[in-house]
Amino acid sequence: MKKKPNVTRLLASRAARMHRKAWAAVFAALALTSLLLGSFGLALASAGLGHARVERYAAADLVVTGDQSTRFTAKPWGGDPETATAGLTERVRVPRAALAAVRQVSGVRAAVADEVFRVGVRGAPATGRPWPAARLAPHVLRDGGGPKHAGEVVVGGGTARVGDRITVRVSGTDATYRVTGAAEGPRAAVYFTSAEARRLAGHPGSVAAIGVTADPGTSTSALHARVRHALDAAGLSSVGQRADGDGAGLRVLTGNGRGGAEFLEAAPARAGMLALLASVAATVVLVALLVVSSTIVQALRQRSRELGLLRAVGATPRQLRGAAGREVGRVAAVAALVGAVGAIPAFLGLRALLDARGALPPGLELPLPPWLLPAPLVTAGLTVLTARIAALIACARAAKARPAEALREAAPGRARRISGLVLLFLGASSAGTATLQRGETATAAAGAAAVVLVIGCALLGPWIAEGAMRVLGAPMRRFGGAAGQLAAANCAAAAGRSGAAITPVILVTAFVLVQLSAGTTMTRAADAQARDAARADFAVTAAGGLPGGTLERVRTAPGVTAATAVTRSTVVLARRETGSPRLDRLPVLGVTPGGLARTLDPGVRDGDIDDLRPGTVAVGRDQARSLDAGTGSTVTVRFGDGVEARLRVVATYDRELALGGFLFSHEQLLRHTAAPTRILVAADGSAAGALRAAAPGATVVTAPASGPLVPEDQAPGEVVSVAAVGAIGGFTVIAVLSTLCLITVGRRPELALLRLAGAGRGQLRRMLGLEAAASAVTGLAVGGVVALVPLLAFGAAVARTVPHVAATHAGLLVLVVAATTAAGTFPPARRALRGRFPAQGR
Amino acid sequence: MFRRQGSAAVTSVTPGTLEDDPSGGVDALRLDGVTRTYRRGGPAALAPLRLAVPRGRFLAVMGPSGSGKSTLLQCAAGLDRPSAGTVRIGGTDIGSLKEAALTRLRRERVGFVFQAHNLVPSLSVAENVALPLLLGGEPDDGRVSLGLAEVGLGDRGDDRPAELSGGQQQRVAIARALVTRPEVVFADEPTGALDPVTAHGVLALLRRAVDQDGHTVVMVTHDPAAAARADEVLFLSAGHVATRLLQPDSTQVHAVMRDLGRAAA
Repeated sequence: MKKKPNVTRLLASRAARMHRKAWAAVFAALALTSLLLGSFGLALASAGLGHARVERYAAADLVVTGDQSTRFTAKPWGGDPETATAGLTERVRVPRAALAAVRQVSGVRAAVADEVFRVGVRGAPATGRPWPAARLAPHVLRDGGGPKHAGEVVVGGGTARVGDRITVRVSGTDATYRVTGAAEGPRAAVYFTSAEARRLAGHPGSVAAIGVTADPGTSTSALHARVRHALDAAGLSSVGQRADGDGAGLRVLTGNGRGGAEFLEAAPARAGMLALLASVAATVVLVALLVVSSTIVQALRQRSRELGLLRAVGATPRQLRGAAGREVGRVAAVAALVGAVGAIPAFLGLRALLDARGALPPGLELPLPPWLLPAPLVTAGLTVLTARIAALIACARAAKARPAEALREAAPGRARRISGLVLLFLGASSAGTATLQRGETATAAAGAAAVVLVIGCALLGPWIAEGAMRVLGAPMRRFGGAAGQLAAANCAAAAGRSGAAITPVILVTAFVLVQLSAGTTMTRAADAQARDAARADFAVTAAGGLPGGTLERVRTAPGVTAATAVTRSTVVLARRETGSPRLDRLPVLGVTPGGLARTLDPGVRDGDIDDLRPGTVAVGRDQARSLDAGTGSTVTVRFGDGVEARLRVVATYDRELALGGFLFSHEQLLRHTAAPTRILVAADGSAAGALRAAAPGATVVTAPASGPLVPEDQAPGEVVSVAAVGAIGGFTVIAVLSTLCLITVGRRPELALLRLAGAGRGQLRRMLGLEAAASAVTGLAVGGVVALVPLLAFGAAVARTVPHVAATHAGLLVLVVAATTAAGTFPPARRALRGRFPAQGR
Repeated sequence: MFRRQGSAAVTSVTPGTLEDDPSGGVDALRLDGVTRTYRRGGPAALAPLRLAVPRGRFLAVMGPSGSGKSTLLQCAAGLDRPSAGTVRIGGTDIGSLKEAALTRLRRERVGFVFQAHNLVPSLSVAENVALPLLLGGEPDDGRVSLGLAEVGLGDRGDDRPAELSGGQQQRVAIARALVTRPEVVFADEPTGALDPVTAHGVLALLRRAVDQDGHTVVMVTHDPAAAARADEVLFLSAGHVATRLLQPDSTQVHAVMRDLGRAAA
């Protein structure tokens, strides 16, 4: 050694090479952490960049639309005012006066009013629009010419031939048009003359959107500024009476933003997805931290004797920490890079899965621009940092302790027991608060309770093992023969060791159960309510709408006992949570109240649902409790188009998991939604013919399946939650395997000794098997209890049922735990149990 | 802090130069009223103990299991902190030292030989010997190869510890313990895991370190034959000094141990 060498670097490099096996688990855990962080990071960034696809307005420079979001500003306790924003899923319209204002702006070559409405062509749904707006895409003519008269239309390619006469149904009224041309673009489209489209859309004073093209040589940004100014100067804002503080100015969209005018659900879904990804990512990060630090602690604890020796010959704590940190850093850097590289295919896989399950709303793009590709390197850096911090914590004790102590085996301390008990208490009380809350607050509290309880159990691992062995020891001794006696004695003597093996099993059981069971419980409860609510025998629908008076005709048709018109929409609820503003978007139904109990029974508790008419509302019982509302009181909601209304509560009902938190009168909801109406009919089985006669051109479905009203972000939630369970499972398999392998390898001399003392190989295998089984059973049982506490709270608060676990989920969990424990126990012990001569294995 | 006037020419240092040292009259190791209890209110592993080891002395500590031998060694060597009393190594009260200074003292003025697990398996033999120097950031200047040659392993410097026999590993440990020319070398059952012939060789190395180079050795042992190689044997029983023997032979040591064993039983 000519140069003065850096001793920490030397120790780190030599040790990392020497203990490659011990670092394998750390490597795997870190690579998985980096992979998950990277792919969730990409998903978050991608959802952040995500936008609605630009199709209809691809050739427009600007699109003027109504404000498709609503805002709520409030001042949290002792803070600055905050504003919450939520997307609106119904079309917010633009006053027709804006068209003139935009046309006067210099540099505007054309401003085209767009309308979008549902039509039915030969019984199939299609979109109706004015022909001039087609050139904003542009959807050019493939054949023929544009419509010149009110009785002429252009259709999407292939729907009909030029010269055909087709019947188009709009708002329940049939009319016949002559096809003058066929256009590129979507097939299910019918283009009318501007005047005809305006008439059919039924909003003479407003337009859906205005597409603007610029004069050649006019820059989009300059034109944007001038249009913006012109609209502001004209004092124009979105159609509809908004809430105070929700100034709904007109929006002028450019670039990717133009897609928002077309796919109204994309932006709200994107926000939901961001929140969902963030919360799942937080859980995964937490589990990753637990597993990474425990594997690092194990890898270093194996070498505590070596660390003690280094201390004895004069290494300072700082030098030891430095060496361990560097050693971990080397492993972590490679692992993090491997994970980062894998993050990109993992993200693409997640996106494909979301797509395949139909969890992405129509038109939402999740882009992966090339400049985003190095993003996993950032999360890889975070992974390395995490590993180094874990290493610091892991060797803090060994580095700091007096050398004599570092050479001794440590007994778990009192501080650990106290903090474990405190965490259990906190977890239980958090679960307790969950029962007093509802909805998302309860879900969050239950989730936090699960996490805190698991960490508490991890700290109390040795004591849990001790207690469990006291329970399991007696039957093992009695029925296990010599192997059982040995196993019981081992488990009792090495409670710390058993605790280390049990903790990861508790972790996986609790997290996986909570993740899977919360969803299953909720779905089951909602399905049960939906089954109870669905009383109708027939459902009547029609593309392009049901003709006026259909409901009355159906009601008087022979054999019909009750009929209800139903339409769906969303409302936004503004409220404060600890003073901070919050906007929740909820799916709702509009119904005609007459005979509701015989078609779609909400389970009225209080009040009279027959009083439901514009200006009133029925509220679900939990929603009413959280709003502190009851029959006779007033609630304020924002409809899907942003219009705020104060409504008198006329009834409360039970089945809100299936029907949503609010029931509106059908007439009222129709004013705020473009969604189609269907009629649910209670009738005897022979009424189908009479129904067809009462609603000509409509589809009559027998025994309509009325699934629960599903919140829009539930579908991605299921996919992401499956991904999260997979990730947590993967982590825990690593943790269980590495812990058990290290334990078993450490016991090889003991096993050899037992063989010398006359134990047969079969006896030792049975002994190991019993010990592994004891760990697995204890872990599953304690994990189950830990999961049960928040799940009970969640079930009581949200679903009002006992928690439910699907048998396949439970079976899979037990199987994975059993397989992993066995894999961590028997293969590493093979060397000590091999051959007829015990000394070979030493 | 007191620091030895270390010299590269190791072999030229004789007991004579030690007495020329400004602190020449000071004992290499001195314990005054040292006690150690492991649990508050529990029994003392070490009763108040007084002990002075002059420079150039080879002291063996014996006693039945649980008599406090290892506790004495760990307290004396600064591996553990006594519950009461003072420990001086070369006149420095180690109780007054802060963490960093204590570590430095262990590195520079104390050497250790344990029964087993003496070597860091990932480092080469030479690097193991050089470890105290490396940790202190000191240059090697030939001390390592010289030390290895002295224990008869001059050609094994590049090997891994796992490639050496048990006796060879103990020799490496001795070379490491001596490489900083420490005030005291503490040996905890250094021959406990060795056969008599190999043990003899290891003890001879310790003996030579005392006789030729004026080192001070404190050795805990079970083996009367090993204790007989020391200048003095201290017998512990239940944390107290039971008796001492100067210039012992193994028959005497045997007799004392038998009596102590009987008294304990």
